[in-house]
Order: sequence, then C-alpha cells, then structure tokens
Amino acid sequence: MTPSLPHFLIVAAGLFTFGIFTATTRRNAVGILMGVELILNAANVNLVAFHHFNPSPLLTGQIFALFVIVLAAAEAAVALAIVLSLYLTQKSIDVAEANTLKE
Amino acid sequence: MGEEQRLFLWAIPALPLLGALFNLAFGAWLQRRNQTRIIATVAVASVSFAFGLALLHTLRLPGLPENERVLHQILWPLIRVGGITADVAFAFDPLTAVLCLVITGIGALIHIYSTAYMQGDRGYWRFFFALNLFVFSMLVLVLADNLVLLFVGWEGVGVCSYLLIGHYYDEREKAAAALKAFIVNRVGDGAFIVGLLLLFWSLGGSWIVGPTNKLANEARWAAADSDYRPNHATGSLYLPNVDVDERRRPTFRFELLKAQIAELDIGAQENLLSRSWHGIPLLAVIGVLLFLGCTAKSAQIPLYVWLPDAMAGPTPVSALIHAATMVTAGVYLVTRLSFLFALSPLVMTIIAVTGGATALIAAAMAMVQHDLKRVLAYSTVSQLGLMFMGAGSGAFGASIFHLVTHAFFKACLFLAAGSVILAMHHEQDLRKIAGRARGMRTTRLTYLYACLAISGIPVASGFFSKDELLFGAFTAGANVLPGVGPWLWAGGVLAALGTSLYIWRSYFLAFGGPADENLHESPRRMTWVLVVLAVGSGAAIVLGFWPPLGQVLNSEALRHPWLERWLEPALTPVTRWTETRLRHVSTSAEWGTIFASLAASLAGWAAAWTFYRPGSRVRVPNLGLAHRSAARLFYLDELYGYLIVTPTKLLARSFYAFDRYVIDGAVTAIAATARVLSRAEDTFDRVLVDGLVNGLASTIGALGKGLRRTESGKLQNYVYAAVAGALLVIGLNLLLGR
Repeated sequence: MTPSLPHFLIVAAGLFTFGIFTATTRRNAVGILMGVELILNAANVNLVAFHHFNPSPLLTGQIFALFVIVLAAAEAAVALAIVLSLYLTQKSIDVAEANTLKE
Repeated sequence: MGEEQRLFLWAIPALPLLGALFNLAFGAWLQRRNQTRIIATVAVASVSFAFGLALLHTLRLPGLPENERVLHQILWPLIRVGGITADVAFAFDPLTAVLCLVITGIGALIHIYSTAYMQGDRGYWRFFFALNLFVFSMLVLVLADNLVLLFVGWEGVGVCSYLLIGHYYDEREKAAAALKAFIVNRVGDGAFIVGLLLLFWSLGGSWIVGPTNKLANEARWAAADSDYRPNHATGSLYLPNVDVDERRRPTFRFELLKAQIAELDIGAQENLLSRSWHGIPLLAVIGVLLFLGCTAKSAQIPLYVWLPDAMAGPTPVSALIHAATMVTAGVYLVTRLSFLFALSPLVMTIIAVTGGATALIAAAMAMVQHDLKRVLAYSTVSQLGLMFMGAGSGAFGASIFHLVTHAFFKACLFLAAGSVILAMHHEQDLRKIAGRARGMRTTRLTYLYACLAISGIPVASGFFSKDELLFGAFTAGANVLPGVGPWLWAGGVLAALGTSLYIWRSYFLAFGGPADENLHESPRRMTWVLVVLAVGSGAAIVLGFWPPLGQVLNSEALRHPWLERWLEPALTPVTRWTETRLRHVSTSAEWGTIFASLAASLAGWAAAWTFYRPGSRVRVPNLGLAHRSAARLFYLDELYGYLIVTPTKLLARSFYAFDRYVIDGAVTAIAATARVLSRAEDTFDRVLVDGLVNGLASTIGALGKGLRRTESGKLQNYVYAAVAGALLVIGLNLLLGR
C-alpha cells in the first residue's frame, strides 16, 4: 500500500501521545524535557507531511518545521539551565521534591 | 374727718417681722462672734417700738366719732375673685387696740426677760427669731380686717408655737411635744376653715357677682332705721375703697359682715337662723365649727391635750404664748364674731358650758401636778375656760377684761416660776423644790401678789375681772338656753375654789419651806420685769372698777367700767342684744354672788394652807383613782391615742405594706419577665443567627480547603492540568465551533 497523508498524521499523533505521556509521568526533570521534545517533533512530522501532500510555492510547511526545530533547541537549552538551577537548589532533579509552592 | 392723717398701722406688725428677718439672716453669725447683745437689742427694740406705735394709734381713737371708731389701712389686694374681696388690710378698732397693747406690751417685757433667761443657750438667735415672728403673726391676727387674713395670722402663731416649743429640738420628747401641739392645732384649723366656708356660703356666697338673698332696694337700705350702721356711704377716710355694692355682697370683712348680719333687710340673719342641716340650725353648725377652732388654739375641751406638753419649751415661751397671747386668740375670735354667736342661744350655751367644764376639770387637774409649769399650764386652761364662759354668757367685755388681767398675772406667775427654775438649774418638780426658793425675795413677793390676783382676793385686779365673768354667767338669761346661767355660775365658783387651792398649793410648795442660801435671786433684768407685771396686775383694777359699787353709790361712771365703755364701739350691736336678754337680779343677789366667790377664794387658800404649808402635819387624803386620773388628764390622751393615733399609724403601715408588697412586687415581676425574655432572645441570637453566620463561614472554609489541593506544588500535576485544559478547549471547539 502507498503511504498517504493519514498514515503520517497517525504516526504524528502517536508521537504526540507518547510525548504527553512522558511529560506528565516522569519524575526525572530531564525525562520531562524528552517528552517535550517528542511533542515538538510530532508537530514537525505533521507539518512536513502536510507540505508534502499539499505543496505550496512558498514552502510554508518546511519553513515552519525549521523554525520549530530551532525553537526546540533553544527551549531545550533554557530548560536544561533551569534543571541545573533546580539541581543546585535541591541536590536532585526529582520534580516531586520541588513542591515548595504548595498551597 | 379733716386732713389726711398718715397711718402707720402696717408698721406695727412690720417691725417685729423685720426684727425676725434680721435675726434670721445675721443671728447665727452674730452669735458666733459673741455679739448676742445685738440680737437681743434688735428683738427687744422691734417689739418695743411696735408697742409705741400701737399706743399712738390707740390715742387717736377717742378723737373719732363712736360709730366710726376704726382706723383702716389697705396694704394690697390679696384675693379679688368674683364677688369675694379679701385684702391684706388692717383695721384698728378699740378691741384690736386692747389686744395690740397687750401683745406688744407684755411681749416686750417678756423679750427683756428672755435676754437674761436664755443667756448662754445654743439657739439664742433662733429663739429671738421665732419669738419676733410670733409677735408678728399674732399682730396680723388681731389687726386683720377680714377672716382670711386673720386665719393667716392664726396659722402663723401655730407655726411659731411649734418652733418655740421645739426649741430644744434635740431632745426627743420636746420635739414630739411641739409636733403634738401643731397637729392638734391643725385639727382645729380644719374645723375653722369648714366653718368659715359655711358662713360664706350661708350669706349667699357664690362665685358670681350678684345680690344676696333678699335685697332691699337702695332707698330702703339708705333709709333703714338701724341704730348701728357704719357710715360707709360717704366713702369716708376710714373706708375709702368701699363702694355701695360691696356692702351687699358676701364678704369676709368683719365690718361688712357685721353690717350685713345686723341689717335685717339683707336677709342674711334670717338665712342663718332659718336654714338647718339635718335638724341642726345652720348658725349652730357654723358656730360650733368656728368654736372648735378656738378650742384647739385656746386649749379647751376637747383639744387641750397639747398645752401641758407644750411646757417643754423655755419658760418665756410658756409665758408669752401659752398664757398671754396665743391662747387668747380664741377668745379674741369669739369676741370679734360676737355678732354671729350672739344670735343663737344654742351656740352661746355650747361655748359657755365648754368653757365652764374646762375651767372645772383643768382646776382639778392642776391640783395634783408635781411639775410647777404644768400647774400653771392647767391654770391657763382653766382661766381661759372662765373667759369662754363669760363670752358665752354674753359678757364679752368682761371676758376681754379678764384676758387683760390674766395676761398680766399669768405672765408674772410663769416668769417668776422661770426665775425659780433657773435658780434651781432647770429643776421643775415641786417636790424637789420643796419650798427652798423662799430666799429669793423679789421673785417670791411678785409670785405672791400674782397668786392674790389669780385666786381672786380684792387687793389685785383678778378679783374684779373674775367676778364680772361670774356675774355675767349668773345673769346670762336668754343669751343662753333657759336655766343654764345659774349652773354656769355654780361651776365657776367651784372653779374659783379650785383655782385658789392649786395656786396657793404651788406657792407653799415652792416658796414655803426653809430657805436655801445657795439659791440666788435672778438678775435684775428678770426681776424688774416681774415687778412691772405685778404692778400691772394691780393697776389693771382701773379698767374694770367697779359695777357693784356703782349700783350702790348710784354712780354712772362706776356702773359701766372703763374698759367696757372703751370696747363698746367695737361690740355694738351685740352689747345691745345681749343686754336686753339679761336676767335682772336684785342688788342683794349681786352682793351675794360677790361674797360667794370671795368665800370660795378664801376657802381654797385655807385648804392649801392646811395641807401644804411648811411644817403641816395634815396629810392630803389619797383619793386613789381620782388622783391618778386627774394627774393623767383624765386619760384623754390615751383616748385620743386609741381612737385616732393608733388607727392613723395602722393606716400608714398598711399603705406602706401595700407599697412594698403590691407595688414593688409588681415592679419586680416586670423586671423578672424582662430578664426571661432577654435570655430567650439571647439564645435565639446565639443559636440561629450566629449559627447561620458561622455555618456560612465554615462552608466557605471547607470549599477553600478543597480548592487548595490543586496547589500541590507538584509540577506534574500542573502539567496534567494544562493538558487537560487544552483538550477540553479543543473538544469544545470541535463540538460547538462548527
């Protein structure tokens, strides 16, 4: 069978779901960041697939995906800086311990 | 009537009033600075000057024609309502003149005496204030030209009597005696007022101005042939403000009353005599009520109970008030209203019989007293009884004569007794004095002379005045109810016997025995007054000397004694009425009565000498019950206590109980109800209202606690929430966004 658009969308959805699951379930801060990467990449797959099957002279999809990758990288850098700061504060990166804003 | 003469009638009472006010204002201050002399001087001077003024006005009276012999001065209008006119106005006629002179004269003497007697007393200034105020009130009483002002003075003397009897107010019995005097007087005052109003009503009195009952027309009034008619029509100097109408209206003024009643055409007399109340003639009711007022003031039966206790006051008080002046107010009133009383033989009989009975009973009581002042007090009651007996028999002039002589010798007796009491350091019991005062020469001699006067020995004036009274009773005739006259006379003779007995008893018991050298004679101020009074009781003979002698010598001048001639303008037409009703007796009967009374006096002296002279071995027979009851006022005090005082106290207590249990109970019950209600409201407030509010608060709290759990601080929970929210928004968009 020839892969058409829905196939790619389903893959992207699956990636998104795994990404949500990972982001909400991990206790490890870096794990959560991994999940976030999965979410972003799922969005990327969605964007490229749409461009491939509905091309535009402006290359909108591709450009958008490129921006997402850049932003993902920047965001990962900042997030890791926050994780480092968290480690310096509580000597561990278990987010369950970071509940000082409780109530 | 010539030129306008300035009258100073107002000054006669005003001077003692000013003296009283001065001593009230400055007395305490002066006394603290040891300036009692100023207090005394002011008091004595005010009364003395009043005497001088009274004398001056008295001297003016003979210059006036007989039917106008009155000096009249209106000070200011007091009551002018409808038909009633009662002003503050003074009328000075011969009767008033006599009384004014007695009051101010003897008053001044007693003031002088008291400056020495009351020396060192803590309430010196208070004494003179009250004494001056008393003289003022008494003068208002006798000078008043109408019954209303008279009553003002009447009450004033009652108040002053209370103040003076209660001078030593820190001793309970003495304060109680003052209260008793005042209350008994008040009972009399009540009767007086009722009688007064009845009199006014019976004259056709109403609040609407109009003619009285039967009105003669003007011409008849002007031409009516009445021997006595006050010459008011010309608006003379002496009654300048009387207009013709006022003569016909019901009035309180004595002059006009007399004119209205004497003038038959007015119909007032007929009204009084013909109307009756449950069978009792109206005049009798009025007369008895007014006389009841007199019995209270002049200590007759049935209201004499206050006088013996009144001896709790200082001796000068007893002398002035309860011998010479206040108690004579009753006699003055009877004489003033003689034109009223003389119309009814029934009333006259009541007065005379009451007087006679009182004279007898009081004499009996005086014989068994141990306290010297009480003997003299009962003696006063007895002598006043004689005066009323004379007045009731129609001998008004004689009763005034006896009033004057009695004032002199009774004051002398009291003041001499005071001298003894002072020397014995306020000991009043005759048994303790036991004749030791023999050494006080002036006191003893003046007391002796006064005893001669009161017991009716011809060397002093008392014999003549008492004899006039007794003779008046004997010949009372139609002035009283038929046949009463001679019985009155007999009672009077017995009373004279008793008088002589008790007074000589007191003399022997006080002055009889071996003299005590330690008792010194009193200061000269006091003894001088005693001498003057004794001389006065002798000199007063000229006032009434001497009808029987006039009969014998056929001398007109002697037949009508000087005083009675002087009083006649004031007492017409009464003397005319009474004289026509007299029973005529032979000259020998007249001398018989004289000898009878003389015999009674001597018998009394003899009895006293037998029993009570010093060294007498004859013992007084002990009459047991008679003795005991006489000593206790024949238990009249107890009777009154039983009949009146106890029920009054019971009533007072029942009112108190009602107030305490019923009224206070009701108030307490209301308070308790309020408390219960407030507690209920408090519970309601706490449970319901507060509960509601608190419940609300706790619900919100629970809500908040629930909501707080979203703030877990766990990052993952926040992410869940964010994702869930995003899904919700997408879902809603899908469902509804189309």
